[in-house]
Amino acid sequence: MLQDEIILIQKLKNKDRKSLEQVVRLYTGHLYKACLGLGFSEQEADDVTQSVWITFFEVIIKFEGRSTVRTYLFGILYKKASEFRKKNKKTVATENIEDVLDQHFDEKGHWILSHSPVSPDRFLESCQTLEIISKCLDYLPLNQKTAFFLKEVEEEMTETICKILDVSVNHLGVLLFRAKNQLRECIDGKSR
Amino acid sequence: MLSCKKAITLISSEEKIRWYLWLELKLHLMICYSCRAYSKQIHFLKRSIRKLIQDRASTADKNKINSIEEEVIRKL
Repeated sequence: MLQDEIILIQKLKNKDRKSLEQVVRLYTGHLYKACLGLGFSEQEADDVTQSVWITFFEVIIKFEGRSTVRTYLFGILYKKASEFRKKNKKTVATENIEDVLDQHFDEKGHWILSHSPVSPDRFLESCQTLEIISKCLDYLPLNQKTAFFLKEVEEEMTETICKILDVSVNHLGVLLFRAKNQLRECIDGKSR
Repeated sequence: MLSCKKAITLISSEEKIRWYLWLELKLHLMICYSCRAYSKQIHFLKRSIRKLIQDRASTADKNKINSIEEEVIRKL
């Protein structure tokens, strides 16, 4: 970690007002935009962002500096977003994607004709239809959605994503595999 | 010969695949229309979802962000 970051963390722990203001100005936009990207409304994004800061100031004293401030904040954001979703929405029980995939293949592992992927052109058309892809994205469980977001949009390193989501490298691989296949399944289904 | 089921697992895997599996996958894709379609679908969806998320984030209002910052700082 950079020397500057270590000094900054120490100042934050000492409740140095100027440094606290500095991190708020530096990361609020980032947190808020991440919430919007994950499908929260403006009001929800506002609430989640504020609650991230409240928690951050409460726990900063315990911060061990094993990650950067940014990674730490995203970790809190993920927890807050999960709590928020649990409180406000019943999670829809979806069929296990591995089971869904199994149904596409015969006993030899070949595609069953009626289950084979729609043509890429048709699929792309659906991808360009906002209602379809936003709906499919919003169906994704938050952990898969956040994993996909951090990997494909923020282009974070695997190690950082694992810290934020608090999962092992193996489990992250599973989450990303599921996210991609769940999304593909949904868009493919709406293209038929 | 690689089965389609194995091929799609390799396509959407995050791990670096071993060279001989990679070669097998390439050969499989040359002859299998469905897996080729699947592979393109995954590519399109990554691109489209990335764009969707970026578009959503870009709707963020600067004034709104400022007012959240002020609110948080006020509570410090």
